Amino acid sequence: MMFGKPVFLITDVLIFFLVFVIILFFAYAMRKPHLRKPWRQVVRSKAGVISIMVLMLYVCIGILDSMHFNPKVENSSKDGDIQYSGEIQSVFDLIVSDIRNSTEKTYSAPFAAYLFAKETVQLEDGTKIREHPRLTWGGAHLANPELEKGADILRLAITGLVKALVVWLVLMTLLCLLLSVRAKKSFFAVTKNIAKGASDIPWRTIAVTLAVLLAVILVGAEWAAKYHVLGTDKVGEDVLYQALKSIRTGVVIGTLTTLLMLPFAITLGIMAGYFRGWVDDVIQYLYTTLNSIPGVLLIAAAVLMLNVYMGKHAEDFASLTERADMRLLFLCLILGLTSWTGLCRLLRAETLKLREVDFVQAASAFGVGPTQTIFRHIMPNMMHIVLITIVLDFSGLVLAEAVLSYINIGVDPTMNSWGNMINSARLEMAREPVVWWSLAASLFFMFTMVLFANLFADVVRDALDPRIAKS
Amino acid sequence: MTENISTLGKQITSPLLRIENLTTVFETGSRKVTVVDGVSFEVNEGETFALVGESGSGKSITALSTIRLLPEAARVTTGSIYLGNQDLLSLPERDMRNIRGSGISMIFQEPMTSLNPVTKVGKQIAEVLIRHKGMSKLQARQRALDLLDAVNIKNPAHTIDTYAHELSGGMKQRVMIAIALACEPKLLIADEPTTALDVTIQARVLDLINELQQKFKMAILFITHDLGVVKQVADHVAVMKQGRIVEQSTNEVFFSNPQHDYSWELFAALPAMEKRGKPLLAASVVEKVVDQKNTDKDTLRVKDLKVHFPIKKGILKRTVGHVKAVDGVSLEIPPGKTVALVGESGSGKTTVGKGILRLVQPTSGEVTYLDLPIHEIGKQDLLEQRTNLQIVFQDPYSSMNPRMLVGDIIEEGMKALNVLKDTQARKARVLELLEQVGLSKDAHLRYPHEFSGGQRQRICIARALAVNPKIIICDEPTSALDVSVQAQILDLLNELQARLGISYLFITHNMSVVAYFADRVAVMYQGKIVEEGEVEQVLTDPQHEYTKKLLAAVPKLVPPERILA
Repeated sequence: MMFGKPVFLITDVLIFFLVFVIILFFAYAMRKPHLRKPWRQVVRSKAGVISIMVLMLYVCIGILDSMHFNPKVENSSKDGDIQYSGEIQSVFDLIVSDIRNSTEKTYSAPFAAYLFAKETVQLEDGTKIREHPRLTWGGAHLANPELEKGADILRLAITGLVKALVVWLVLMTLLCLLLSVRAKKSFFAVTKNIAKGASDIPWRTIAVTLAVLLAVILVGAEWAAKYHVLGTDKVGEDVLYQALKSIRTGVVIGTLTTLLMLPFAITLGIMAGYFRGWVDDVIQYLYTTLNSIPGVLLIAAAVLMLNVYMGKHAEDFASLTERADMRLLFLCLILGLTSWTGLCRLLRAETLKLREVDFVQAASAFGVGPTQTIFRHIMPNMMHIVLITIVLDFSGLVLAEAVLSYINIGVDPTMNSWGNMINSARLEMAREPVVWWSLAASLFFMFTMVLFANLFADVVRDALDPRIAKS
Repeated sequence: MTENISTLGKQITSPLLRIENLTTVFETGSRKVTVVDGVSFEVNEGETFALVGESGSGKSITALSTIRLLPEAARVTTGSIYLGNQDLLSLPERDMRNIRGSGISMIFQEPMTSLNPVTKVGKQIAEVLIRHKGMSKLQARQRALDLLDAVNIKNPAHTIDTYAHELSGGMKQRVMIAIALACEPKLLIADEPTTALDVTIQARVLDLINELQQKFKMAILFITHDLGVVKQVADHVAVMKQGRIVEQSTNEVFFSNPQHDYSWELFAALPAMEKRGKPLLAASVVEKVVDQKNTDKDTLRVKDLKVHFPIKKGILKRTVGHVKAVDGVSLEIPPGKTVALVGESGSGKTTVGKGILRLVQPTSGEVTYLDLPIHEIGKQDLLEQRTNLQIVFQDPYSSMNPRMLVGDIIEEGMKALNVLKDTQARKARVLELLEQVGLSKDAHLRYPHEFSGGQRQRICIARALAVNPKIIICDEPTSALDVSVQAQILDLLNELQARLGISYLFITHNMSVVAYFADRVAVMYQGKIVEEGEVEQVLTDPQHEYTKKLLAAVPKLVPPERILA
């Protein structure tokens, strides 16, 4: 390994597994004409492609951030064997190592060249004055920040935009070439078609979205190399870095929890509704009981138990990152266990309705057994409910994480998460002048993800419902 | 001389409602659909004007345009509507609200959903009076009592304080009429007011509307698809097709010598006793392939079938009583014949069908077929018999899984019952079946929602046919369909019977379908069969009181004979 020894945390494995399953599903769906059709409709809607692209960006960051390794220790190969540091880093850390290592002393505002707080500084002649000292990293290349900063930011933005334009042109040329080869048309004709927005798949929308994303990423990168774009927090860590690292936590909590909850909700909900009788009674009593226990208490108890366990078995958890990861997984687990009841109730009611519908009766007139009836007739007809619940829960879970972190039973305090950022911003909001950037950054990133996840789910839901799908 | 005066008098009175060149358009996104396309007609004071047409012909939208209660997406683009001298389309919404209720009122098709379930019916009538006539609560209540009495409700003092769910369908429609008449409107729009009701109740409600029209001297715009009802109530008839009025004439002319081809088609599609043995729409008769091997055991016999549903109450779910849905029914379905099971809603006809198939487990009684006791055979034998006994449901929209391809839907039964083990053979059979029921072969790769109601019913029939059944239980297979589509389906069923020798248990409430289609008929009333026999005999000479009542309630309509030049 070039950088070091790979490390697989449990959540990493689960995420890779999930990605693998999704790829497998699409590979399967692409070969079936009637399964391919709805997904083609998704990529033909404008809202669909925009949200896919934005979500892909988030997911890519999440995946890059899930490739962990122990970095090689510099100058360690004196006696031949390579030494690895005990610290766990991710590939994403490597890419953004600049802003990761650019820590300041304490708070600084976005694009600031000076610290946010005044400090007593001793001048060369021995006198002490209180002033805002220069940052060690942010805007350090400027001789006179007051005069040069505005022009410098603009210059960097233009550099970023030019780079974005170049990359965009290269990508679009490649795309048009590819399309012209596939459609067996001239390159010029294909380009004209896209520019007019006359193509089947909204390539023009894709091109515009790509341009915007590239501009945001590359301009941001130019700025981030010289400034703290979103400022720094109390211990001088870059807020942009924190917000980006939080993406993985958000994605993991959102997806893994939902995934853990789905099997419970779907199997129990359908069983209760379909078989009725004593099965229904048992399942109903189970979720009524579970619902009557305050969720927060249950989670607190579970997390505290885990803490005790980890304290007793310290040797099993080699690093802080592993401990934090274990706690994240456990949080997903316990959130999943407490949140399946709502969906289960909905699915039970839906199954009760569906089992009396004529097409289920027709199936039983053919002697179709319960397993097949459930898988063929009942489950596909309530997938829209599942899908909507997943998306609504996804945003709800990201928010629940923030609430739980607030009372210290959420993710590990050492782990970057939007919840932890909001939690620390609580104190910052009380400062005068106010430190707003931590809160704003986490809210912005959370908002974008939840918004596009919702848009995406809307498009998918419409596409999956054959009754409203356009033929 | 007197005749001249009367015609003169008619010319002087201006019509109560005058609609000129009305066009209503639905806009969804960039798509524009013209639903009402240049409709003009006049309704005179005190007369009944019937608007007839199949579903989707734009008759309801014409009515909703008149009272200005169109759905969001719809818009009147051209035309004018005059009530007396008032131009309704240019009135501000505020004045229009005064017109609704006191000038025009409306009764809807579905009495179950038109009443507010959490408010007492008396209050719902009084509400209109307080709003439009400015009555006090006490006056309004008194007037509500009078109105309930006027619509022939037997005990108004009791009914006024009941909720909608405590009333039967016919009672609810009476209450709806009472609300509509509260302010003595000049025009009553009745949008399929009896379609959801049983035929005996329909007859009473129609009588009531007629009686009230005399009493209040109001005009009625009557919207329906049922030509029998039209003949009974209308003075003038207008036939709508695809948003246009294709024919307008008086009752006498329309029912003796309609002018337009489409009107003739409507009459041709009507099933009737006189048309027995002839196809309604199809060009030729399919010769009956008589199966000689039929023996006595091929007859399905139902003996004293009972299906009781327990009523459970309390925490321990103790059974406190039974709903006797089917209470001792005996039937015989001979091979290659059609037996009709007739009765009103709630009489237990559907449950009989489901009980025979054991989709509902019978409480007691016997079902024998091929010397097998269907009611008690084991799982494996029952699976085998499922290939012989199949069912087609009433609602073509809910009887197919919307998420399955038509091909898979038809194939499902063959797979489950192991009719054809080879995948290729099954696929070939699906295509063959689609052709047999008159659908194109590429239908198997489409979803059910891409088909119309009639086409869906064809798919359902193909699905039942897939396992080569000997008996198909048809549970009101045409009652959700338009007459012309109903005629196609009846033709198809006839053809299949002739070709394959299938027998049908045809469950229906439509007497004219029975007269046209069935060989034997059994009349069901409150879970029991009250009369059974050959169709001609039962329909011409009913013995039981209930059968007599039922037959008397059916609107009489003899389709005119077309003399082709």
